[in-house]
Amino acid sequence: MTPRAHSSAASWAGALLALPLLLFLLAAVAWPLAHLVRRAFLEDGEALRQVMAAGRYRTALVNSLALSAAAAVTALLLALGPAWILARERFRGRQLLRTAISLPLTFSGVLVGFLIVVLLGRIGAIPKLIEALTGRQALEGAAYTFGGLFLGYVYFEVPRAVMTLESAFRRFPWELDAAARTLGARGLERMLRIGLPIAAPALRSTLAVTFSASMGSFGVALILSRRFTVAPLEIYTEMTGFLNDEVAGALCLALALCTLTVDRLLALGKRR
Amino acid sequence: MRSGFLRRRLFRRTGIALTALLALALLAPILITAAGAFSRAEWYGQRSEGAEVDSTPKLFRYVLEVWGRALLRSGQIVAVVVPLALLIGAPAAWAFRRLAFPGSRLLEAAALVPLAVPGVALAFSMIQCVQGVPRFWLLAAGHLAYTIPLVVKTVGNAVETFDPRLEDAARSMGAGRLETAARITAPLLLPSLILSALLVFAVSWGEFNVSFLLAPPLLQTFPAALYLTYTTNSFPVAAAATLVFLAPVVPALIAIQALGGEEFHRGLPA
Amino acid sequence: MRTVIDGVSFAYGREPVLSGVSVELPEGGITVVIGPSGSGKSTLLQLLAGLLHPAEGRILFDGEDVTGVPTERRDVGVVFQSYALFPHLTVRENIAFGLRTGRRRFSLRSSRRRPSRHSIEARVWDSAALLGLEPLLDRRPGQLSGGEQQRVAVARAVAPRPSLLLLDEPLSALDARLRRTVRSELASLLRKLGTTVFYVTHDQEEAMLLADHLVVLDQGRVVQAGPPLELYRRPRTPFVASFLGEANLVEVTVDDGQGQPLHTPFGKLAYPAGVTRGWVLVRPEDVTEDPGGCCATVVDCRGMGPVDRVVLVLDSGAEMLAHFPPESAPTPGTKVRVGVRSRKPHFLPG
Repeated sequence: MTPRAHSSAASWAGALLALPLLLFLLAAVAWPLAHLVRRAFLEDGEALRQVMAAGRYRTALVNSLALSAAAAVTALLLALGPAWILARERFRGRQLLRTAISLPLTFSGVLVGFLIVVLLGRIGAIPKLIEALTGRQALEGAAYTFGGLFLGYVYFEVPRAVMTLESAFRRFPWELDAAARTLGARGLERMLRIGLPIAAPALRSTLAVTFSASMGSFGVALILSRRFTVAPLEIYTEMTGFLNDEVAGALCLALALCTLTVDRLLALGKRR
Repeated sequence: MRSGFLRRRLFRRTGIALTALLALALLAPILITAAGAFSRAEWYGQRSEGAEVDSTPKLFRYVLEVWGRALLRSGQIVAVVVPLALLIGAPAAWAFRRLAFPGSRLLEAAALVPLAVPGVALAFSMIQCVQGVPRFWLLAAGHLAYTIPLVVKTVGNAVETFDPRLEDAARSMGAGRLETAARITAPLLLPSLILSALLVFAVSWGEFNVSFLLAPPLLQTFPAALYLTYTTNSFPVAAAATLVFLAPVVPALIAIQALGGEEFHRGLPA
Repeated sequence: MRTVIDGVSFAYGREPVLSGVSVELPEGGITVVIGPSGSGKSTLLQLLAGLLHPAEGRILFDGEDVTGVPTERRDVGVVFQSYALFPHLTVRENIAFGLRTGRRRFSLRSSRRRPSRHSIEARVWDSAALLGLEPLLDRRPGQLSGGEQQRVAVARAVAPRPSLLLLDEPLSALDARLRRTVRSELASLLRKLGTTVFYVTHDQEEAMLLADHLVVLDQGRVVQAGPPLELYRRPRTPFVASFLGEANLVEVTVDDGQGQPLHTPFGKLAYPAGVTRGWVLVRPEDVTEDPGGCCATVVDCRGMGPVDRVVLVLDSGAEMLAHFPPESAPTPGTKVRVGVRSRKPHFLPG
């Protein structure tokens, strides 16, 4: 919808309406974040250097990056089929399935962590099931491994991926697919030459959303990571355990930077 | 000769089955949790809390007794955050789309920035530099930072699809500015306001990252209490607490779905 | 390619869209399907294309039942109403798309293997030249005007030289003036190609200009089919009569049903035995001033440019529309005597 030209009086009214938002952002977001950045660079960026050097911090960041990336891609792959079906087909129970899949969107990270423990903790349902069926003990405490955290991230991200992809698929111009069919293109060829290129922006933004969700995920890690660490957890321990504010601040910065970079990279491919 | 169409039907059936499987996989742990709260079997181990929790009603009563304050706290926060988020975000969303002023696009983008900042970072930096403010309001501010973007996007989308010519039509038929606002604009924007309120409620009720760090130990919100039950209490108690947590949120989610909430795709912060 | 639609029915959920539709497309000719919105004409096109599957009936290409054959294996080309150009490909790549797919033709004509790259480029160039698109080959659809996009859509559909060409209201997105020029260009292009064409429109002028065979569809059924002039002069129902142009329909009731010639204000008229009521059709251009005709009062006269549009009321009370020669301008209120030109008025049984 093209914006209409309006008087300067209207502009003033607009500015007035948006003023509370501006004040809030300045006071509650901009000011604290600026403070954070400043402190990270204190003493010639000593804290930053500490963070980037090898050691626990680097490991934490790398863990976060690796886990988030792997979980994002896995969630995307798992979400493709269901998103397509929900967007394209009409069937009884569709709304029910949709509600069921989007229910985890309301779970905070802690809850997801708990649910993984319910499944794979020391007295989790799956090990119990395996024992009941085969008599062997397996996967006990699997929740607390890398695999467990990975699963937690995936559980967290799949509903997001499905919902984001579904709305993208619903907006997909299906006539293009019909046109490709009339020109003789079979299923796979259609998907590769028409479907993927047109859906690519949606896929990219889904990856961005899921990736940044896991990068910042705290609750899940709090419950599940016992033997290793991820960045948000490090920030927490630095802050509350060691009272090492500068390092915690630098970690925050590094984390935010990583997330933003990946986000920008994914968006870059969009500009064609 | 019907192979083409048969194959498509097969794809469709398989796809639906796989989707149902995924939904089931996602729901399975919840169902197990509910079983843990409502059954009396002891497959998950002893109830360390003893006789206080040996039956289901006693279980829930225990949860409410011990964590009732956290529940109240969450309620207080939500009661403050929802109206504030709407009051700050909705007029701004209107202004961005209809009363553009220099810098409005920048401000709109800035409003969405908190979503990219990990909750830990924001909570941490808030504590650092804002010393004298009571924790309750810091908490509210943290919640607002993550819910205002939802309001701005949801109401913004509704304003964008709202045709200003409807207002012109009303004015041309003699309605004054206030009357037009009340009889045309408000009813058409109401669904998005309700949707925003629901979204803010859902996010604020379940918010953990910022709350855990900002709230003083004696006045935690309910999600933080959940964390404590997960780490200190037996499984049935944790399960019961989880169900108490989910009770208000599930109807909210269903309502959000019914109203077509697209902005919830980001869900809660992890 | 000989194309036959045989007794096809289609429903959308529980709503019937097409019922028992049978159409035979003349080989190498242009068949136009015309009808109001909701009549099912686009659905019929999609059934021919294979994008939809009929609930009943068959579709035959050269005698072979292709009802179960999916779109990508049918030898058809489609021009969509919205053009459906691939936005991420250039015009050249759009046109070449159908030449690069692994299509297996279902018709029994010569088996055509996938053409070489050189011949693909040559074919793309030829198709583009047919529609005057040479300077636009490296642009993207987003950079083209509506008229240019329409031409690309046609070029893309004809490039593989399909045996059947389907066009779904290809001109409806163009403004009226552009429509007129593109219409005649399209007509000559289609005739030059000599492909069997199935063309859907709601525009009567387009239909008359393009059709070798005209099919009128209403509420999912074929009302009448045949050469366009035949339908124009001898429509079988009032619907067809008024759909194909302005029509004066005078309702008549016959008392004895004996097959006696009917006396109308315009002369004697034979009607089939056993019919007791119906309409007499007189086209406005056939009404003329006739000193020996019946009396009528001029109610309104408007100069339209090529004709004068005159509304008359006969002494019997019936209202008639007439086209008088331009600037003959009979004054409203005056009395004239009118009759019907040499052609006999046509009787439609009720």
